[in-house]
Amino acid sequence: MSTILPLDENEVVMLESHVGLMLLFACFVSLVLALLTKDDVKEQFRFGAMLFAGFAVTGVVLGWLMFPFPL
Amino acid sequence: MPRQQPKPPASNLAAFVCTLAWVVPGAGHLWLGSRQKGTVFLVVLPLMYATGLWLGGQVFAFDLSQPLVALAALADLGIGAPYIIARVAGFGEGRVVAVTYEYGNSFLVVAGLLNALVVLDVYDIALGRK
Repeated sequence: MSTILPLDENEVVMLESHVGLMLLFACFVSLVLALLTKDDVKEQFRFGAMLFAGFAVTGVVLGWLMFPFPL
Repeated sequence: MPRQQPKPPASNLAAFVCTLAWVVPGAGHLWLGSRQKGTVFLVVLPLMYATGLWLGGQVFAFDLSQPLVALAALADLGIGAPYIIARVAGFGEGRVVAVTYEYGNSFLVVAGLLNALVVLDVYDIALGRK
């Protein structure tokens, strides 16, 4: 049993948004990878945005591709 | 005339900042003077780890009888002090029944792996490769 949960109803609703969690994950990973791989601030923004968009689009496309398959 | 202190070898400095960067995410970059990157890592990586705990993810213990669990534990350990704090404080026991259990695990594992990349980056900077 976890010591930091349970959550109240509003939090549960927020946490069950799979897309929201995927976007949050993409945001964290894009930010760190952009800072690690680029030194110029403009390049960091550009690369981070591209990574984030790549995560988001790939997630949605894969979601639609899996749609016909049963759980 | 004051005598100059001999500079520590680069490998000693690299070992020190790598250990520092592993224990406290971002601290290695801050030590080497990269304030922007260090501050962002210091905030983002522990935040990502905390989010994984909040989502009901499990901080895995080393269990060599289950190789995948051992690998997940190794990845979790990459975050350094937050892993140790979570283990000691009893967080991260994991709620297997939670919808977000696997999401939490992903956040925890990836936060550890990202910090491992940060340690490697610090190593390169300390040796003058970047």
